[in-house]
Parts: sequence; C-alpha cells; structure tokens
Amino acid sequence: MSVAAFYAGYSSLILFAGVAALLALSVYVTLMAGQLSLGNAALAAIGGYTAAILTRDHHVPLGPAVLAGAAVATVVAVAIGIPSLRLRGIYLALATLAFGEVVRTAALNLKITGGALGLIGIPALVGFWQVYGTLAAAALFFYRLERSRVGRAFAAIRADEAAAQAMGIRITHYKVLSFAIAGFLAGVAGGLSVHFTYIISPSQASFTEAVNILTFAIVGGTSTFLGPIVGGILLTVLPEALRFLRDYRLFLDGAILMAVTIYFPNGIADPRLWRWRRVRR
Amino acid sequence: MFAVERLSRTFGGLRALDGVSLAVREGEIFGLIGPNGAGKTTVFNIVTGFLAPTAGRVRFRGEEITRWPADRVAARGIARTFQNIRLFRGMSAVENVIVGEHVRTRATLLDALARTRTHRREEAEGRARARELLALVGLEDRAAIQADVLAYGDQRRLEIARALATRPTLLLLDEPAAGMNPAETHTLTTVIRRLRDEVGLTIVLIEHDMKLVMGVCDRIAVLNFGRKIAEGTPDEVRRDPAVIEAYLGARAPRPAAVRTTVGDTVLAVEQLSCGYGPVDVLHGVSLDVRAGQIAALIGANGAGKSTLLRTISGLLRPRTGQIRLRNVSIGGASPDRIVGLGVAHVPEGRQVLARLTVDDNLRAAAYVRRDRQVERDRVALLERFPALRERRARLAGTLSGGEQQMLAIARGLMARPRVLMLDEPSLGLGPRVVERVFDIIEEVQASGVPILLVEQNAQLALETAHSGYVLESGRIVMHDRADRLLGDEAVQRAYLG
Repeated sequence: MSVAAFYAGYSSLILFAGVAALLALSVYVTLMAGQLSLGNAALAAIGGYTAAILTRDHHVPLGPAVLAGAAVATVVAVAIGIPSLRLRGIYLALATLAFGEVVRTAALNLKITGGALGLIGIPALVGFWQVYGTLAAAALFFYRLERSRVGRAFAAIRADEAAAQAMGIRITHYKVLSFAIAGFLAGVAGGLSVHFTYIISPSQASFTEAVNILTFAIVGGTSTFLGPIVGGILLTVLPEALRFLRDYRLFLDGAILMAVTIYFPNGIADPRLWRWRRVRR
Repeated sequence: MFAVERLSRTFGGLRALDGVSLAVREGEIFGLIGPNGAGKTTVFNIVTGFLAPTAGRVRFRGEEITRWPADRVAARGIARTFQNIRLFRGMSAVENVIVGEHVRTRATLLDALARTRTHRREEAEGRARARELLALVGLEDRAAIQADVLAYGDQRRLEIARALATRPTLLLLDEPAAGMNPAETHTLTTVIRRLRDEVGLTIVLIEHDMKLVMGVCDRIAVLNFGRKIAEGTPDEVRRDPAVIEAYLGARAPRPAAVRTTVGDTVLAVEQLSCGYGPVDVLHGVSLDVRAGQIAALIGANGAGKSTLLRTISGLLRPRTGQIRLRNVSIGGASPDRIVGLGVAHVPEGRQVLARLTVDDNLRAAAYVRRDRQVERDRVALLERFPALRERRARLAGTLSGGEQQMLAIARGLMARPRVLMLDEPSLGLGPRVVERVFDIIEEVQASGVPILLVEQNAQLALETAHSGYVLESGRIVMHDRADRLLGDEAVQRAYLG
C-alpha cells in the first residue's frame, strides 16, 4: 500500500491524533507549572466555534481565523486563570471543570453557536500539513521552553511553591502565563479540528472530553513534552486499532489505561525509563 | 542595615512572637537561638514575606518591607534557607542552584524561543556560576545528582548554594548545621565566615549547634516563648543565667555508659551491600547489636548510615549479605513483616503523623500487632513520657521538635520491638532537649530493648553507647567499645571536632 493510499484510508484518524497531541500539550503546560486544569476542552471549543464562524459565515481565510479563535481562548483562559489561581490542586480542577460546564451550557443555548445542533457545514480547509506543522512548531516551542529560565520557573513552582517564591519567582505571573499558553494551544487545536470534522457541537466542551485530554497527558507522561504527544497520538490510534474486538474493545481500553498508570506511573514516555532505572529514596 | 521592631505574631490563641526587636549591622554574623518553639523561624517567615505579622515592622536598608510578598523580598536582596529542607525535588543539584538565579536574570519566554543573545549568555553564565556556588559549599562532585537523593547534610548545603544564587546582601540561615557531623560543621563555619569576609554578606543564623553559634557569631539574641530574653556577644550570652535556665542547661559530662554484661546477638548484619540504582552505597557492612546494649553508628554525611537503617527495616532490598534478627533471616522481607518481627525504626526527621493526635499516633504504631494489650501499652507509655501524656489529645504536628522526637520514640516502642533503631534523634533540638531525649534513650535500653543509634553528635552518641561503629563511604572502618572510640585520636579528629 502506498503512503498516499494509506493516508487516504486513515486521514481523519491521523488528523485526530495530531489534534489530540496538541490538546494534551495544552494540559501539559499548566501541569508544568503545577496547575491541574480541566477547562481545556472548553477552551478548544471556544477556539473552534470562533474559527468556524469566521471561515463559514465571514469567509475569513484559515490562518487568521484559527489565530483569532486562539486569541479569544487565550483571553478567556487568562480571565478564568487569574481568579482561579487562588485555588490549589483539586479545588482548581473543580473550578476549571465548572468553567467547562458554563461554556457547554452557553453553547447549547446561544444562537450564534447553533444551539444543541452546533455548527455544521464548516469548510474543509485543514489537512496533514496544517495539523502536523502546528504540532512540530509546538514541539519546538516546548523544547526551547523547557530549557529556559521560564521553563525552570514553571518546574520550580510545580516542585515547591514556597521555595520558588523565596527564589524571587513571581508565581502568579508564571501561573497566568502557563494558563495563557494553554488557552492559545487549546484554541489552535479547536480551530484546526473543526475544519476537518466540518462540525462542532456543545459536547466538545463536555467533562468527558476534558478528562480524555488529561488522560492523554498523564498516560504519555508529564516529565517532558514528548509524553503528551506520545500519549495523545497513541490513545487516539489505539482504540481504532482495536476495533476488531468490537464489544470488548472498551474493556481492553480500560485495562490498558490501568496497566499504564500502575506500571508506568510517570507515563510511557518517561525519560528515566530509557536510562538505567533509578530508585527514588 | 536590617531590623525588626516590636514584631508580634499570634497563631490562634498562641503568642508565637511577642514584641521582639532586633537590629543587625552591615557585615555582621548574628545568631538567633532559643528552645524549640521559641519563635525563631517565625521571625524568618515574617521577614521573608511568608507570614504577615500581627504587629510590628521590618526594615531593610532604609526601607520598610513589612508585608512585602516573598518574591519581592528576594528581589530586594534577602535570601533564606528552610529548616525543613525545601529543595526542588526531582531536579538535579545544579538545576536547583540555577533556579536560584532566576531573580537576577532577565531572559523572557521570547528570548528563549528565539535563542537571543541574552538567553544564550545567561544560560552559559548561569551554569558556570551555579558550579562555582556548588564548589563553594563543597558539592561540586554532586552537581548532577537529583536533589532528593542527596544525603541530609548535603541537602542543607545545597539550600545555601541555592540561596546564594539569588545574590543576596542578607542571608538568613535556618539551622544550617542540622544533620552535619562536627567535621562538616567546622567546614560550614569556614564557609559562613568566607561569605561575610569575601562576599560581604550580612548573615542571620538560627542554630542549635552551640559550637558553631558561639564560634562564628558576632552577636547573639536569645528567644524564649516568643520573647527576647537576652542579647549580646557569645560570651555574655553564654554566661547569662536566664539563657542557661531556658536553653543551654548546665551540661555536666555524662557518666560513661554502664558496662552491662554483653548478651546474645539480637540483630546481626553480615556482609551487606545495597544501594540506589546502579550505585552501591553500602559495601559489605557487618555489625551486630547485642542484648543490653546501645550500639552507635557514626560517620560523615553520605557515608550510608540512614541507608543501612532503611535496608534493615526493609525499605530497601539488600543486594548481597544477610540480616538476622535473633537468628531469623529478615533480609529482603517486606517492611511490615520486619516491623512485626520486632525491628522498630525511628526515622530521621521524626516523621510523626502530623494530622493525628498523640494518642492516635501511638495507636497507629501498633498496627502490626494482633494482641489485646495495645491500649494497656499505650497508657503505660504515656506514663513513661509525661510530656506526651499532657498533650495526648493534641495534633502531633503542633508539638515542639523535642516532643515530636519523644513521640517518635514512643511510637517505635508501641510495636514492642526486640530492637529499636534511632536515626538522628538529636536533629534540630536545643541542647536541653537533647539531654532529655538521650536520658530517655538510656531508659529504654535499661528497660530491655537494645538500640542501634545513628547520630551526628558523635560525642554524645559514644558517651551513651556501649559499642561503636565508624562508617566511611559505605564501609565499616572501625569497631570498638564506645569509650575506646571516644579516646581514639583518628575518631576525634574526624568526628568529634
């Protein structure tokens, strides 16, 4: 089978996998700064709706439309982020989850979002290069971020907020920055995906979606950016590859998830696994 | 240069600080001492912006900085270390120090993305400077090791290097020598002096090691129950009756441990090797603890003392060698089984269950027991530790350091152990409290439980113990009666200072 034929057969799956990786990266960037956010599906939906309305109804070209969607998602993420950052851990997760429900309910009831049906007939503008070009750019972004002063500030906040503050790190500033990056990435992912699914509906801001995205990142691992990418792609492709199991497929899905969290607590793309196994004290 | 004025802070009904004023001059090394719970760390927490004072002011270089947020205080030039070590776990030693440079560097996210000259220059300079700072505190050969795997005393040194990376003018050190042996403390003294003389820092120091405090400080203030009870030169403070009464105690040399007849071997370790990952920490270690004995294990930080205890209690698997408890092999068994067989381990830093009451801490410790006498033992133990009986309903986390240490020992005894292992029981405790804890250790031994004692305060350990082992780089290099080791010249030079 030629590459072209393979791509033709599996194109939507391949595109979904790339978008999943982008979404996983958007959760990862908040995790980098020690913040657990479950609002990323909603942020992606905001980006998706915005971009879809621009291209479908106003004939704006893809690039500007996706960037506009990402910009709106970024602004919303920062607006949500600033008050939420007084919260920690599980409380922050709950607050961002509630935000997701607000977005879903709003999309369900607003006219501009098409209500329960959502928006249909979105133009087909996105293919392999748009998705994977973006993913490559995001990967480069994270590669440089992790090896920088800002990336180390994130890591310090994640490891010990009080100690980070004692080092003069402005923790609020960096937490908001991580939320802004998360909003932008989620917005881009949402804006891209609607242009190959041709449809967007309120369910894309649902709790299930939010948890899926988090699962991509956790299963892949959160010690480097490679984890979310591997996790997003693998967890999108795997269910399809197991389709022949029919009704038992979901069982196996669940079993794989449990096995990974038990045997690879740091994710399957944990760099430590590839070196000698180090035991923690 | 730096002053606090009538500083007060209450927690609930407790007055942790009650109108304390201090003034520190430029270039001074200033000691802050006093019993556990006197409010010393509270002063640091208020100055560095981690706690708001109930009343009072903080001044630094002609500016009022009361209630400034912590990051702004750091940016202004005050750095601190933490009593309960707060390194960035999971990062290497050198990365920890580089994070400390954050506040003196400028590169933004955009600089990093575009790899601008600022970014590249700061990365290169930062790494080089971090190595220099590690070398300054004697950690140059541990740069790549993950911070939470370092030995306790090394972690303290790393905290100092990280604090220095913020380029402070005022350095606040919270018990920097805790967990260090006399030789290491001596090196630390040199480092502290160099920081003042060569770098020009002003230093405020909280410390229980009186040799360090008296040797290095220009002036000392003494706190007790949130109030300042004395201030002056080391000599003045040392002679102050109120300070002796509250803190120093009139330390008479301990009578040498009574030589009981040596009993059967209770715990035997033979040719034990083990370690973390690819690196062996212990190389063929053999020792034994006999009935009616306290055996002391001394050695430098990173020699493997805690690792040995952790291996005996089953938290680490031995690679080769035998561990026997009364001739039953326990090497490689699970920790709960080993506790059940009668090995109690009181870990370094006490690790009481902070959110449980004293009573519940003791009950939890009897978890491995199946008999019906748990409650009776608990009551009997509280009789033996009157300080705990009075506080039996308090949460363990609210106890002072000395009380927590007693609770940790009592908890070890709840398992009705055949042997008790103590890791650094004097860690972070004031001189008077240390005396009390060691009295208790002797009582426990006298009641028929042999003890394996790991302790940085080698003098005290060897005075209390009957036999002693010296561990160096994972090997037992000396073993003798404790009093002979005390008199040994090499031991004195290396560990007694």
